[in-house]
Amino acid sequence: MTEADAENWHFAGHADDFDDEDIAQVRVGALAVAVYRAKGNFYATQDLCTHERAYLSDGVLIDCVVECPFHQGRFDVRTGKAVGVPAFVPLKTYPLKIVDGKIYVNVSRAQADADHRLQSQYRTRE
Amino acid sequence: MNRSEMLVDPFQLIDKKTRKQLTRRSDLKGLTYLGGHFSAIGCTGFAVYLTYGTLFMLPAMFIHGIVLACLFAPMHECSHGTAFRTRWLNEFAYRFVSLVYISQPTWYRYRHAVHHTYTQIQGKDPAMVLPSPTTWQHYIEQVLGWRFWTTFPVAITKHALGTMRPQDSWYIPKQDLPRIHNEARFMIAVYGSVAALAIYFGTLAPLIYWLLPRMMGEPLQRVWRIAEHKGCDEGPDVRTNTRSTKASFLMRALCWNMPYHSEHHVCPQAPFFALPALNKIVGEQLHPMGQSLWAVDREVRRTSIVSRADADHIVTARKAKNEQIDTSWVCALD
Repeated sequence: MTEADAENWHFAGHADDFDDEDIAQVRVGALAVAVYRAKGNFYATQDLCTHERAYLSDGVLIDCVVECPFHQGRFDVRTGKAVGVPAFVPLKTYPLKIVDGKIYVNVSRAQADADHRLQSQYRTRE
Repeated sequence: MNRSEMLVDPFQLIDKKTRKQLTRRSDLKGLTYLGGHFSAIGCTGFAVYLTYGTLFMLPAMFIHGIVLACLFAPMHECSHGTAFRTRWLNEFAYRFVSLVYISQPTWYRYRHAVHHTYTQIQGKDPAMVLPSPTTWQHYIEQVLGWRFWTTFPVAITKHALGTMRPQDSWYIPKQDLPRIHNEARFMIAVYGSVAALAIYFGTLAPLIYWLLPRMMGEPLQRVWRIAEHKGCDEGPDVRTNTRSTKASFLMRALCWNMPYHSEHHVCPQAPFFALPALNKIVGEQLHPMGQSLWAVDREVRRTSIVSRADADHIVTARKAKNEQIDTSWVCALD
């Protein structure tokens, strides 16, 4: 692994701290990333709902589907796919690994900045 | 508007651990309530059958209609996906209950999402009941459900024909329109089949046991819709723009705890059975609870209804100030 690759892995918490169907928010720069424990496995997606501005880490995880706290739009956390109205646009997913019980999410700083810029353009339809 | 523009982020009123507990879903509780509701419909329907042709038939139909119209509650709960933990069960129940209650599921889901974003914002909240200025004519039309029965058939027909009312098109993604159109066609086909079968067999049963009681029960639902928001702040603060109202055990059961409406708006992901517990946690921070449905309705009539001349004057003054005024009455659908 190159030094640059290593820099892209960001510590996101201890696996033992997660019960099943727990969600936590971690920040990579300004970007909010949601880390889920679903059916014993861990996943990471963007935290901001693609429908309207609400953090999915405030929402409910049932099996592998996260539900937005505001309008109950739903996404499959394994793929990011939108699976429930009013959500329509998929979530961005991020690679995740666990080493010695520690969770790491893979997002480069440039990617985090780009994704955050994109998400800052989300808005309610006016 | 987005969450950061709200005066208070409602999710911050409850800590995360408590929220996780309060938002747990239950198939058992959902099935118990839904089974209970349809059993009640069966019992009141049987009462209509027993009283058929007697003087007691009308009150029996009225009571049957109240139970039927209260299907709004499971329909609304399923639209949030909070009635059951199992997803397919929730969706199946949503579509079935919507069909009986007479509501188009996907269209309602989009409309209701906008209602939660723009609660009490005139011109934006598609479920805004009796936007001010309110006259007696508006109030009576609302309570009788007149706008619902005249607007819904037009809207669903438009959807079936592949179009959409202009006031609805801004909040529904174009990519999802085919689903709404097909849903409307399916519903019209089902209702048309029921009508055709009734004519073929020469029976009035669908009218006597479903449509007429459904219409007779509608006013109670309309008064509930009024009590949930009318007279509250017309602004974005969830603590003040929605009202909970005390209700009897029977009414809370029939309405799936929806009289705890402020609590529902604070945490829409909480299932119906968690709302009383939510009330104990956040109730004191919210709009004062209405003492009863009739007390709230009386207060609304006393404080919110103006004469037609005054209403015209208010509208003219607001227009002069370029304020947004909702006179479209799309609200009365919910």
